[in-house]
Amino acid sequence: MRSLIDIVTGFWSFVVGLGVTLLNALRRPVTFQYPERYYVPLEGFRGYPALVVDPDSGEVICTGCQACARACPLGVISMEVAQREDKKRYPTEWRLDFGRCMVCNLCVEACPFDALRMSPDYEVAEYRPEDLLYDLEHLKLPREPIAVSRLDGTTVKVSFAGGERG
Amino acid sequence: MLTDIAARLQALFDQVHLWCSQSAFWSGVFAVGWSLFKVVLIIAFMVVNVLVLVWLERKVSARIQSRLGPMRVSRPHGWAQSLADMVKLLGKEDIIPRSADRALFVIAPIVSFTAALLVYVVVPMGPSAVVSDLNIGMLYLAAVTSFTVMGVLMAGWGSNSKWTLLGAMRGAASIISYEIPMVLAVLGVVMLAGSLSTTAIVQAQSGLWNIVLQPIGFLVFLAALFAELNRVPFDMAEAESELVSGFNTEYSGLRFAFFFLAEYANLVALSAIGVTLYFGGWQGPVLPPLAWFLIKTYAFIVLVMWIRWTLPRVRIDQLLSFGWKVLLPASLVNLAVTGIYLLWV
Amino acid sequence: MTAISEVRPVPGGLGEHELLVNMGPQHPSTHGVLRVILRVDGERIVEARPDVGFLHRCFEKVSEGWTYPQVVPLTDRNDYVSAMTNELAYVLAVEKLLGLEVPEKAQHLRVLIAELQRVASHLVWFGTFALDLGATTPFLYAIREREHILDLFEALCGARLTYSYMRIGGVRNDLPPGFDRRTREFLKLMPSRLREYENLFMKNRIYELRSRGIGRVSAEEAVAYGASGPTLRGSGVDWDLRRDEPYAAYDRYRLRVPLGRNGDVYDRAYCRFEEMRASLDLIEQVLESLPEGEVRAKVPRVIKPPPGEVYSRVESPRGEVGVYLVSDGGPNPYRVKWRAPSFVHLQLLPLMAKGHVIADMVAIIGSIDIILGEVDR
Ligand code: SF4
Ligand code: SF4
Repeated sequence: MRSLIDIVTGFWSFVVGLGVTLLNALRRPVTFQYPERYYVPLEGFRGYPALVVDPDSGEVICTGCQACARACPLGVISMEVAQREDKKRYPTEWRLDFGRCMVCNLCVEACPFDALRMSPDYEVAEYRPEDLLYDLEHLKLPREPIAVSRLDGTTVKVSFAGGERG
Repeated sequence: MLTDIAARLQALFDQVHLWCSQSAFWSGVFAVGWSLFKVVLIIAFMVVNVLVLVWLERKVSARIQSRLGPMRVSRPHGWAQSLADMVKLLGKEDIIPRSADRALFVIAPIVSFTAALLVYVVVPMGPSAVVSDLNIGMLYLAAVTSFTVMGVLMAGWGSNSKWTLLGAMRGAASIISYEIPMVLAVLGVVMLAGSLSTTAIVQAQSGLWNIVLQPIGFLVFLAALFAELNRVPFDMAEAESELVSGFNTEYSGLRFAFFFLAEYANLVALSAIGVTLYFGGWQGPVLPPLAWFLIKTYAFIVLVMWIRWTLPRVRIDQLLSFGWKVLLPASLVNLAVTGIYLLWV
Repeated sequence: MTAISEVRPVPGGLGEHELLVNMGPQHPSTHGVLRVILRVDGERIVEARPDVGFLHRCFEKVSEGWTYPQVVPLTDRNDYVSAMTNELAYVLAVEKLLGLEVPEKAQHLRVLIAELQRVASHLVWFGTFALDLGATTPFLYAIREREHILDLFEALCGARLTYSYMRIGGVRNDLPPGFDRRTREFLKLMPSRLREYENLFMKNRIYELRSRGIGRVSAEEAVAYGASGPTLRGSGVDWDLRRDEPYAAYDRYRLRVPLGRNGDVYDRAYCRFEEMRASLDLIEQVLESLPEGEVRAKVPRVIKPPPGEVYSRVESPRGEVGVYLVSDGGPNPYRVKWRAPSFVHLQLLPLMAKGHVIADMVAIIGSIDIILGEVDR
């Protein structure tokens, strides 16, 4: 008798399980087709460290102080610095070996001038590892605002230019 | 229009048949040609069904799991996915492990495939649409379905790998021990119909489907079907998370495709048998028999998939004890009850 | 050429009907690159020997060359399924070494984040455990629900897996707008989903058959082997660092600690599963009583702790993560020793597996929830 009850309850547990899968089959799928529908990253998403540009001149506001390069655990940041006539220093070249970068945000936090920010761009796949060596031009954040999403589900345009945080 | 063409074909066929029957030689050629034609027809039917099924399985599982499933290959809903997969498999390098038993390794997929093919001979898709209406149809079926195990064993042994061997042993044990309850369950249906012929079984259900008369028999059949098909919860021979990929671990490319084909061909075949035995086969109102047959078969297949994507896998010893201690007695009880029922009615 | 057996020894002396099976390192159910050498008689396991080290990345040595703050992102890579807890363990150790006062709010945030991380980690465990037992669907469901937490973390710190969020002296930043609401939504959603998992898997008869009485470890053995976390509690030992040796702000909250009795796969799984409920409860408590204030203490740019050594431990989803830190007064740690619970639990594997069949092996590995990144470091 006990084994009979066992069989019946066991069978019932299967039916219950089938109910769960049926219920979920009736829900909308949660995945979507990516390139057709772009995934808008959440605000603050860390894509790769990139250089903030001055909205007027379009030049990077980095002063070449090397604080970020020192903060980086992996030493993947390197730069060459020159001096303008007004004694202001600026980088003539700024390199990031993104293939080795672990996107840890330490360099961004180290920058005293807020000249470095995390780009929300995540489409960074390349065919060759050499292409992951980013140079100054590549690392410039766009002057136009970039669309990011918020936790409440809205999408907003946030400016990544200038010193102020959007 | 369609009936017109059918009538003309029929006329053409009759004429050829008539002409051929005039001489012994040509009638022989005709018989062989006609059989070959049927074989090609079956293979075509099977392959098309398998391609649809593979896609369907992925879609059903995706739906159950809140996913989209294949979407890329052709619109709508990536229907050409399995075609693409087939082409990909055909293009793969053919690898035979150095230590494998070459002959067995090569034959195994073909055996599996042939075993699946043989079942189709007795599946009635319409009143006269059955390849061969054997009067021992069910007996033939019981014999032929056990062939599958040969392919599994040959592949497992021939690959000369430990995982495949374990998979093959499990597969053999489970398929053989589930054969018996399955046959016993089917026997109940045979008793009701009073015939072993599949066509007769379908006709016997013109009033009431057997599922109503034989609920226990159906459940036993369903359980055995999972073992026979190597599907979760009884996918002993493959057991992806335990035995890597079970008996077909070492296979790739075309040979793997054959196993794949065989697996899904078996699914169609056994589902068709299930429909024949318990759901009134091709019978149904309004629509033509073939349509009913396909609708029912596919509904049955979706049920099988639904179960497959819900349950976890049992262990081999539990599987065997379930087979011998639960299914076998249940099928015997079913048989006895059916006998008593027949005596009374 | 050196014979392979010289490099990685295999047990000798096979019995007459015995077979040596190499489970892994590329096996679907060894959760990465674990290799278990099985001596089987048919399918029955006579001896199981875990062989680790395929994922070794010199974590401890690398840490010695980096400054204290720089090690934080590295700890993410240990137990990548619950990176936050690792960071927490590390920063707590450094703070202990420095004798640093951490702002109240940061402490509460740490509890909040660690508990969210625990739920996320247990969801991954639940999914893969079900996957090991042949049920594919629960995995997708668990990952689907985990996505909510990952979204929260993405908004919080910008990453979905390796967060780099804890900082020495606090946390990187305060909660982003909308975090509170989304978390509450998640808390509302989750109990019903957990019931679904139960109906689908945890109460399924096949699952019960597969897990009851399998891989038994007695309480004494568990303690003797240094087990911790759900693996220990599954054997009925009532020990949880969050409650018994509170760190961060855990002492401010009530914590329910689910216990098992038999120490088998079923009980361990039960503990983990119930822990999700307990954690959800805890998250709600934290949300209710989150104080205002700073989230990060002032620390010097170059952190040079006084010479000395500390051991600090936290309750990670897998068990006790311990960090032993030695400082020589320089800017880099002199020595970092990482106590990884997965590594310790792996030692229990031969004990648990003995006498069971290969299929159970998979269940057992699933039930102790090892993360190879943490085992090999
Ligand atoms: S994100 Fe981290 S690893 Fe990458 S450049 Fe900045 S500091 Fe270096
Ligand atoms: S820390 Fe900022 S300002 Fe200094 S070099 Fe780096 S990016 Fe430029």
